[in-house]
Amino acid sequence: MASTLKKIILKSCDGKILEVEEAVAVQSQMIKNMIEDDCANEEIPLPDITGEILSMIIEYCKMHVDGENNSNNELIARDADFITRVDLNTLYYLIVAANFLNVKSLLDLTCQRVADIIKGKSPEEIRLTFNIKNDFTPEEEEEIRKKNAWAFDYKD
Amino acid sequence: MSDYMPVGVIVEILKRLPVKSLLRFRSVCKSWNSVICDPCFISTHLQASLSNNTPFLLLSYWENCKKDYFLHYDNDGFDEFKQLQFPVFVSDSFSFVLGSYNGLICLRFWNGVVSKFILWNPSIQKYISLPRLRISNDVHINFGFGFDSRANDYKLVIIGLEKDGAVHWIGYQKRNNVVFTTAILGFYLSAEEFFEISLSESLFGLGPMVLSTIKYGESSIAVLKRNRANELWDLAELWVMKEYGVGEVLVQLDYGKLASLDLNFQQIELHGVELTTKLISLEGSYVESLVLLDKTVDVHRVNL
Repeated sequence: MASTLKKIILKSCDGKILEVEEAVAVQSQMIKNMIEDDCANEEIPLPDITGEILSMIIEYCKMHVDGENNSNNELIARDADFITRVDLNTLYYLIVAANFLNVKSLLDLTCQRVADIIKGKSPEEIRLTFNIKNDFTPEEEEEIRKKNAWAFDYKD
Repeated sequence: MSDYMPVGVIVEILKRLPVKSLLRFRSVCKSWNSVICDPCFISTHLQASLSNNTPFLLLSYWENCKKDYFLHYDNDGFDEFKQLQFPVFVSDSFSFVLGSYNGLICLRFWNGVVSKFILWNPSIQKYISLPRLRISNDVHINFGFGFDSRANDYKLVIIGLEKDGAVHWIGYQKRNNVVFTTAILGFYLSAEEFFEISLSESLFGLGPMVLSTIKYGESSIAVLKRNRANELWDLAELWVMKEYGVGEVLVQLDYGKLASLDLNFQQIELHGVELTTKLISLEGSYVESLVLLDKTVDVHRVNL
């Protein structure tokens, strides 16, 4: 029982300090590895994660630890409720943080959400969404579009 | 969304997209195009599709001496997704689906003498032709199509159903000019060796046209027995391998009704869909994939 009460101290890039129960913190495979290697006794600095994003990730991990005994359907409903509140810009930072902290279920949830949002979009909308520069010449782009012309029929 | 996105994260997102979106997103930028066409990504996307999506059911309808193929959703309403329009038409030939694996469909066109084979991915509308073959006109010749994971290549075995790197047929013996069933005959694609799986006793000694094998998803093989009463197929028996190599569930089905079987509870649920107007059979399952996208073959534009 003692180990579950142990607190892990996380520090965001903007200096926010968060104390997290070990059971919640180990939802992150990265932090779990650090605890196993006995490297988590001091505060853990997270250079690319803001306090706002870190709080959201902790909220998510806590929800999963608290919901361990809930049915699968209840967890799916909670996940859906959590993720639909997040805008696309925040989703991006959540994905990068979930990837860095290695919280697999959150990475799955966030990436699936982005996939659902973008699947019906055009290449132009994708470039705008992800801030991607089109590096094809007009001829190259024309050729690649011609090859896949039928995929531009947005029926389904 | 802004800033730099690591390639690993882009792959995590793209592997969850439908094939059609990915083909469209090839024109986003050069790096997305090379990710989508990369053999490793094609394989990652396939594994994600296999584990996240319920496969489509591939059905054939016999009507007016012609066999048409349809993909249906595996849902309660059994809704039609689309008809498969073969990418090529070979005049004076019968065309059949020999098998479906990893989104690739193997087609056979046969004019009585020469067989032409095509490996076709309907989702990306690409196909490759295999060498023409001259095969003796024997009704008992069978074909198996599957994937050899060790060689990372697709194999067409001419002599079926593929599971765990093996193809399967109903095995027959010929004694005193009478052909009868004995076992499921398997062939390991990597080792290229034959093996046998015993059939339930009630399926012994039957003629060649009564039994057929069915593969569902990536994990299950069943044997369908058709009982012919009068002129109509009216009752079918399904022998299902609960575990690979161990067949133990035998159920009876009314012909012309759609039913699903729960292997754990051995219960049959009738869906209330009548299929009596046409002769329908389940050819297998199908999942959308990008397989063949990395191969430099012509794109043949056909409407699905």
